[in-house]
Amino acid sequence: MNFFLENGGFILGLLGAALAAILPGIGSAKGVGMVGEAAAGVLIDEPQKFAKALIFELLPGTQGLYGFIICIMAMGKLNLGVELGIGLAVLMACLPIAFVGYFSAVSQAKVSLADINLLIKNESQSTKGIILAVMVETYAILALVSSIMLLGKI
Amino acid sequence: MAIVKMARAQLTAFASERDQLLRDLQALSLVHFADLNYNFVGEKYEEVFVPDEASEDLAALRDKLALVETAIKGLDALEAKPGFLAGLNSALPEMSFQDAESQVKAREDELMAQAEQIRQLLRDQAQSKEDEARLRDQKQQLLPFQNLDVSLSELDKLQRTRYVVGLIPKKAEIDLRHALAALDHTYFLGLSQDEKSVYFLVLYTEQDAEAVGEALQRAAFSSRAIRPDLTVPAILSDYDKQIADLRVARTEIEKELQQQSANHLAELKLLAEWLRNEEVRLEAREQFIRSNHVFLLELYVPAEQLEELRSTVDRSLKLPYSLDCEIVERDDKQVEEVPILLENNKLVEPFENVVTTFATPRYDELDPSGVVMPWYAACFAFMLGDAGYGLVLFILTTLALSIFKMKQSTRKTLRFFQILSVPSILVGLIFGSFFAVDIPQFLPFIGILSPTRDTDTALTFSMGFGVVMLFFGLAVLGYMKIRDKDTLGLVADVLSWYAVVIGAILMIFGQNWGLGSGAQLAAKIMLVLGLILVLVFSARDEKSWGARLGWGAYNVYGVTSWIGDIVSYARLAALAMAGGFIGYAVNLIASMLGTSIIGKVGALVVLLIFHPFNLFLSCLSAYVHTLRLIYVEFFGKFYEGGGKPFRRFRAESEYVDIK
Repeated sequence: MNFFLENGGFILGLLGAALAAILPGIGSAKGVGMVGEAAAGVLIDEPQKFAKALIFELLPGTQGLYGFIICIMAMGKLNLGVELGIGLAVLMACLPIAFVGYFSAVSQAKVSLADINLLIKNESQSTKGIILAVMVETYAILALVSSIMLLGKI
Repeated sequence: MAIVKMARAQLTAFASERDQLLRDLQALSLVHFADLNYNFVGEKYEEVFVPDEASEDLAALRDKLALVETAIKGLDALEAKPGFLAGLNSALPEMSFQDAESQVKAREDELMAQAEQIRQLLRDQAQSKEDEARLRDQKQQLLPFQNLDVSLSELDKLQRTRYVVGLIPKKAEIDLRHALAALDHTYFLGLSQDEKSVYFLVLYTEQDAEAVGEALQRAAFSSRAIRPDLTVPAILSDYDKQIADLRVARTEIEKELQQQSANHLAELKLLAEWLRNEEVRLEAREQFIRSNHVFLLELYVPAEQLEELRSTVDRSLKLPYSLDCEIVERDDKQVEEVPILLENNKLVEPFENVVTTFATPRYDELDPSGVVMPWYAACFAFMLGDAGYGLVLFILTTLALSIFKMKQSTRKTLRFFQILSVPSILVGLIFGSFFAVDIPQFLPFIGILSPTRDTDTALTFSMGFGVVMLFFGLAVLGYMKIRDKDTLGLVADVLSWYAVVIGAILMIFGQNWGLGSGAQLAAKIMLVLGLILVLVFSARDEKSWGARLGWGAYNVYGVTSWIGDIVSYARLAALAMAGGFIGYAVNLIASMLGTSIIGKVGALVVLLIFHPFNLFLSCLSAYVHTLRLIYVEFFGKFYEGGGKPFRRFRAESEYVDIK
């Protein structure tokens, strides 16, 4: 019990920071992977579409970076012996990007996947496809902003 | 920022002069034909006029074009691919319309004959490759038998001895040998083996034929037919000779193709370009209507070129004709049909693509490119937010633009990013960030707003920036209402929203800003007044009051979209932070590698790999998120689009840029 009171804040804070890096990271890895597979299919016949295929592949990759940023910012709030309450608060502040990051990366990957189809059939309209995929990212950004603001309160 | 003013012309002329006229109009290039089949044919014309059609001519022309394209593709495949850097010099050769025409006209028949010849050579080449592959395959199958240095016809001469040649799976070898050994007069001669099979010859006497046949069948034997008159080594060397002959012949073909390529490739490309323009000419005819003797067409040209059009038509047509021209005004009846050509100065031109990707403006709107340019640049710069990254972007684009001769569309894209790099450097200075390292404050404005250190201020600032940008968009709508003298629209659609949004902002933040109670009351009145205007007038085109108020109420609900739009601008600060923190992390990792020489080299490698990576990702994010802010939030306030893009009366240049 004493151990928990002394180190609990630090551990919980680290848990938050780790979750912020883990969940969006998994989501982005999944998303980039999904779209990458489809993008490789485009290159078989049309290698000149590489640049655009790459853009679609990278779109669901940003959530991982957002999580990483919150991880770094959360680390700035933590040191050994930080109070239990503070550590718990850091954990809570990390939750928005941790969860929204994961799910938005996967959903965005699905839109990007459909956009790869668009790229194959009608390349001239693919910029519009980018916009459609970016719509999903709005919520990851809002979650990022929320996490940043919540961390700012600590 | 401008939509080019158009003139509309209707022409009736004799059908015999149609083709010459089309050629002369194509020389003008900036001519857009309206489709008369939809516009014009009313009942009273139906019996006399029918759609002009050119399907037979088109089919013949497309056959020709396909032949020339085949020849070009075949010859192009022979050419060495340019290296990466040389490949950047992708600009097409240029040539004037008259020069192209005279060159093509003089050489067309001969070039078509050459193209036919090239196609034959290409076919021969393909056939020869196919033959060689077949011979190699046959040779490969025979190779395991090369130790058989007696021809089969020799073996056929034996009186009472028979033979078989072939292969069995390796695992069946022992069983077969045992079975054969049990018979008295058989001889098993192993010729070779590989991982799977054993190749052999078996000699046996007539009385054992049945037993041998059974043993072979059990061993899953498959026989091989071998040409009887020669020994296997002789057959193999015969294959080699045939292959060598094929190759010699093919080298001849390839030499000839090379020759053709050197002599005719450039001309063939010009011919293809010309034929494609002819194709456009024939396709244009399908938009005309004609009777037995005359044809009618309707076209648009930029108003400035109207005189040129008149003189061209006059020069071209010897017989009587009728040409009606008018300048098209913004309140024209067929305003949706007017094709849109955008004309902007060098700074704005690269941003036209941003607009047309969303939608081409309508003739009665305005071209938002000029408005988009500064706001796009500001948003992009905010999100990139680093002087070092901006500088790299500037240097790379400037170098590429000055060193390489690239095709027009690539140049436009590079110009786009070159223009964006300058405000990025400025914003980077304001953020005090140079490759994510703090810049010493040698100018008073450096580092006054740092998204990484002062996140809250940056977030507030970005949303404030959003309010200003959205108000600007609304002001553009206001400008259009004033231009079109639509006072009610100005009040109901523009001023009302200013009142609502400013009123709401003052009510929410007024207390913090220390506004007096009088000012706060004024804000409340503004808000309510604005909402009433929206409720009553925003749906003023509805006929019944019920529908009008219903839609009005729905539009009042649009207040929520303003909240969403403004919050959406938080992405400006968020992406600036994202780029900033990742750059900071890169620097942190590099600094942790220590001060030994290995550490320093390692740090350099880390910096050289991950900063460009971060630059690329930040640029990508900034590019797409700015697009979103422009399309969804900004354009949502004032821009609809829906015009038809102007189609030049030319084919898209592929090999030669015909001026």
